[in-house]
Amino acid sequence: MVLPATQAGPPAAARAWLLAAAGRVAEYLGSLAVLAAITFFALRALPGDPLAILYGEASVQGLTPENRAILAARHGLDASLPGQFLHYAGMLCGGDLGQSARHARPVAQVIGQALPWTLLLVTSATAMALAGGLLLGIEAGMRRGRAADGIILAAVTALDSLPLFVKAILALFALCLGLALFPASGGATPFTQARGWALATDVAWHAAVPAGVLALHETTKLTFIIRALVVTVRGRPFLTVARAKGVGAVGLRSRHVAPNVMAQVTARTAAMFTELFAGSIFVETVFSYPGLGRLLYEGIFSRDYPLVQGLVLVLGAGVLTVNMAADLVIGRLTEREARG
Amino acid sequence: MTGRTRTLLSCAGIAAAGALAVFGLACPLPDAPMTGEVFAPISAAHPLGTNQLGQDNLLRTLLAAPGALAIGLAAGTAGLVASTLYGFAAAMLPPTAGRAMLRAVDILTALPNIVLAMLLATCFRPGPLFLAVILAAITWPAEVRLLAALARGQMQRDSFRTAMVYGARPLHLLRRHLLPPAGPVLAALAILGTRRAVMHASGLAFLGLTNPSSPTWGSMLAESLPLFYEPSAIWLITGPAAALSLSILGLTFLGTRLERRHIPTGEAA
Repeated sequence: MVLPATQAGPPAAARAWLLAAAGRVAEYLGSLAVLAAITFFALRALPGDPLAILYGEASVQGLTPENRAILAARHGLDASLPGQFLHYAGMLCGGDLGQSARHARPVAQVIGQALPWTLLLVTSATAMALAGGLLLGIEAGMRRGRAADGIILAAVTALDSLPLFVKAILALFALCLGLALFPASGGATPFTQARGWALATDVAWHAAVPAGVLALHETTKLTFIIRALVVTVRGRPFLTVARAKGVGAVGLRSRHVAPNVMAQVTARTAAMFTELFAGSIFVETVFSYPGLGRLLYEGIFSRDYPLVQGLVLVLGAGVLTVNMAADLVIGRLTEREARG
Repeated sequence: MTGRTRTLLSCAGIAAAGALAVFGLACPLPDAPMTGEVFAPISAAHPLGTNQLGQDNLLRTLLAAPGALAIGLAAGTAGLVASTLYGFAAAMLPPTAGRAMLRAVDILTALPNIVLAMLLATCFRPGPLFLAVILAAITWPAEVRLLAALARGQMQRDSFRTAMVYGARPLHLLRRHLLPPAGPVLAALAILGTRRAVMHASGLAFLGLTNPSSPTWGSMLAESLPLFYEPSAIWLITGPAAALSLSILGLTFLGTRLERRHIPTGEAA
């Protein structure tokens, strides 16, 4: 959703922005509630004893009735279904995501350990995708209808038709196993004693291919969008003036075209986070990268329902929060622009 | 190639895919026999070699095609029907209710839908039909706003107002006044929805979230992952990767061609 830019004077504009922002925050809270409800009811819909689902069949079997009652009380299982949901929502607000059966630790702790790895992948992929998308999109848009445009579009369309995990498998096979240029798995060399720069280099070395594949996947989508934006900009008089003043090809693209598409590109970058986080699941699975996606994959296979539930919640809430923050910032920016 | 031949070719392609898909839903194929040599190289008998169980890679790739297309088409169409009905209802109802309905859709659109599909699939381990339902359920909100805007545009026309004055029922209005002019747009959206569903379904299969009794392109790729130490693993991934990419590429071409012709966008291409 794009917040409206208002034409009225400062106080009225500020009020309109506040109103729109309040609406956006309400929508955000609604989305969070729906997310919590879906994660709650998906697990409750499973047949069988809820405690066995939450803690694993094996760990519940030997429980004394007293311990069972303590666990049931912790999850509010004696209440009605709506009551149970409220209890669950209360637990979430307190940061309690339950207990992982496979890792025998609180889910929040397990997720906290893996989160930095995924953030590293996603942020570096975002930067690379932005750079690649701007480069290709602007070039294709400026040369619309010519050979270079056709080549870029054909290449990007072909790449866009490869699902992310296929790209990842091909990259793993070619770059990590065939040519053996990069490590095939992990986030760092096991038992490394490296510190400081050596450690940073090692981590970057391991992240290069996974982040590159993730970036490539988003670059294709950004290229289409940026090309379309550039096509609408390139006929405008200010570019002709700049050309007449003798601005070179690079200056034209970097100082005149890029700033004019950046506002919309920023909006799209925020929307990109959903796909990047979902994409990291596939990339981390293929490259055995120690992030959230890998955890999710393992959780799915070992039927560690609380872990999967917690991961879906964390990923979902993260995406929703980033999108809301971006909408608020963009709304503020466009409003300022409209005011002059 | 003239426009007419292209249209004919497109229609033939859609008909073939549809027939294959109906076949895939009506009679799910059994897995390939495990009778060949294990990890056989490519030969005349096994054009893409065999896998770790001695199954022919090409045969398995072909066996997976009807199921993949069926799930894609079923999910794409079901999602489109849901979003069309919802968008029509939002346009027909009084403005306040319509706005509330669209706000609700905004909330659903904001959710990371593929991650939710993973949770649902983890809990329910769906068969083909249920998988199509899950995929349709997570994708339908995306098109509602476009379809509601389309319906509102049609409702400004005199023919529609005349029909309203004559007391036409909502279903009649939808069938005779809204759907026919929106036909091409709906076709484009259905194909793009199918494309997205094929991609998502293969992703879920890759994570091991679908019924493992019949081969899918995603699960074939997942099975090949731990076998990469074997040099002939390249033949394990060639078939499913190519089939998946080519079917998605075909749907992309078809969808974007229809879309460019019939859906107005900002770009004057």
